[in-house]
Amino acid sequence: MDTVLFILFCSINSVVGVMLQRLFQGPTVWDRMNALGVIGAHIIMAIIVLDFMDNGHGDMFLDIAISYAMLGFIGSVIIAKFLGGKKI
Amino acid sequence: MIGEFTPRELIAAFFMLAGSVFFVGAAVGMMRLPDFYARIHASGNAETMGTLLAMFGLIIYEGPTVNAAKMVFVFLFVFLCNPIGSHILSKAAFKTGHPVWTLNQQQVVDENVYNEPVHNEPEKEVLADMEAHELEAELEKARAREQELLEALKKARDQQLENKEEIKTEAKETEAK
Repeated sequence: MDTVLFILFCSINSVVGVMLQRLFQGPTVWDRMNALGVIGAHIIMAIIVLDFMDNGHGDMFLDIAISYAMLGFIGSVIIAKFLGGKKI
Repeated sequence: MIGEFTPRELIAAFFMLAGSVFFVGAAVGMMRLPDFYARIHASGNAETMGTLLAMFGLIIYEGPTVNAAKMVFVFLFVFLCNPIGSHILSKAAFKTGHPVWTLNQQQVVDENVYNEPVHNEPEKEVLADMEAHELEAELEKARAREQELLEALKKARDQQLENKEEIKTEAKETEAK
């Protein structure tokens, strides 16, 4: 089971790596915003998988994941509204 | 190798591997697609589906505990809010006039939904400025042409005068003879 969790963790981190490239060289601000949102959503998954890989099953990881999900969503929506101006 | 797993772990491993396939698909789409809208489509869809599958596998692996309940909350939150975030971002980009990539480079205007086809259309002042610039360029061209024609006319007159003088001198020579 550790192997499966490790494969899942590696695939999540591959997405985060590609998104980091898009975040730094993205041609427009929308690409950067998208990369930030996707990195946030994948780090939630990475935190939960780390909880399972840790063998300790700390409850702290899941609470952190819940709060991280809420903060990431609210932040991305607020910045999208700020960038969209009055039209959105 | 399969003998090491209990059946519950096998189901969980199946869901986790399916989720990781979706994650890798998101990464590939992010590298290969040409446009912001295409990329947000790839990342948003594959991200939501992969997160759902992987989270479902982790919940099955965890079993009926309090932590599984918390993970169900995260599951529901991600399922509701990831597509909303992607949608708001792409809508903001579309309404502020971010151009849509097409094969023929043609503009995409969705008037049925938004009723204000404003993006990429220059305003009236800008159009007037462009017209004025074109007219000024035409005027300069016409002036340059006028100058050329005047010079040509001058040259032709000079030539005419020279010819007349030559004719006069020839006539004088013939008279002298």
